[in-house]
Amino acid sequence: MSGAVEYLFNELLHQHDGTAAGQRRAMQLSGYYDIYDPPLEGIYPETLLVGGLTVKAGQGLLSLLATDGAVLAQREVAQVTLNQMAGNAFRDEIAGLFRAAGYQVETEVTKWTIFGRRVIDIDVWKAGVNLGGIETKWGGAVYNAAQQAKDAWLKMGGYVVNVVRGGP
Amino acid sequence: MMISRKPVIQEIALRLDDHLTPMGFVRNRKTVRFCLADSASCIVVELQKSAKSNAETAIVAANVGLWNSTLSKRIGGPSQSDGLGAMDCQWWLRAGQIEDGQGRWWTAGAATDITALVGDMWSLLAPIVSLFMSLRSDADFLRYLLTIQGPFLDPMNRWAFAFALACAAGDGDAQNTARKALEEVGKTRTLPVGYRMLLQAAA
Repeated sequence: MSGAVEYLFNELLHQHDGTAAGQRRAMQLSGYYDIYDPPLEGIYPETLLVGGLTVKAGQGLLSLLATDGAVLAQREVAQVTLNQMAGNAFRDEIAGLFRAAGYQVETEVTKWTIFGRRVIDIDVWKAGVNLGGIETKWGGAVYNAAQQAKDAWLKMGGYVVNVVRGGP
Repeated sequence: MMISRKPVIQEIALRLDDHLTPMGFVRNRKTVRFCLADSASCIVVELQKSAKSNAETAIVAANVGLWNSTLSKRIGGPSQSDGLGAMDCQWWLRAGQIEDGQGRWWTAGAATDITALVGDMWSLLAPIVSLFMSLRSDADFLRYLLTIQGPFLDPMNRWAFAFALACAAGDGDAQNTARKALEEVGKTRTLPVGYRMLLQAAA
């Protein structure tokens, strides 16, 4: 589970329960769910199903829902935060697919370029060979000129960055 | 009471200090980086905050980089060790890669036992630091490259580094070995312009 989602999820649980016991439960859950191997029933940016509860994000609201759809807790979240959460979840999902397929992947890898540092979303390896990088873009996220310039420079050094797009 | 992200990272760095300072590393308090530099090389240990961190929870990885001055002159990249991040170095590893095949991220918040976290982190960092400490001189690094395929060091880089170091040392045998190996890699993969120029310049 991404850090932001995890935090908000905890906060919602705490808000729902409102007791120290609720907070402990949230801490237990956050300790249980590993950020890179989330035992989620399903993971996609709008909805996360965690331990029978649903976290639903959209329209500036983050909601914790019971199995029958009843809203247990709700809070406003800035759209930029929701976008970031969606982007992070999408990146982790793509990274997870590569891991499941037997590749070694690292997320948030920085590459030095003459135009400045470039943060690569996913760095992919297979059998000791570096295959290149993946830039994940969710929704209308822009693959901007600075990123393209840095990626062109990296390509000259043998490191190819591919862009993977996803959207609702 | 919640602790904001920066103090948690600073606290982790402070505990790492106990391990790294006795080894000669100098801590940069602003960047949460530790450096061990001489004229030939630099080892950088750094804490990396994930973009997924938030005000309450820090998600942190630990990276170690090995920068070599000769490689920088012959192949390119950052020309000085000042201000280097671990991932700016020619070879870097993330704590956990050697053991698990992938880097580890730790989540730290107000309730986290930082001492235990750093103990776990150091158990994964120590082998990397130890490996890179043994490769600080050009001669040791060249010997290593000629005999061992290092973890998460692409074979193309391995042989290009070996070739560059062998050229600098005037070691003809090593140069030939590395050239053949690099050319062999070049049969199945496109060598970067810099590596092709390196081979041509030495021919």
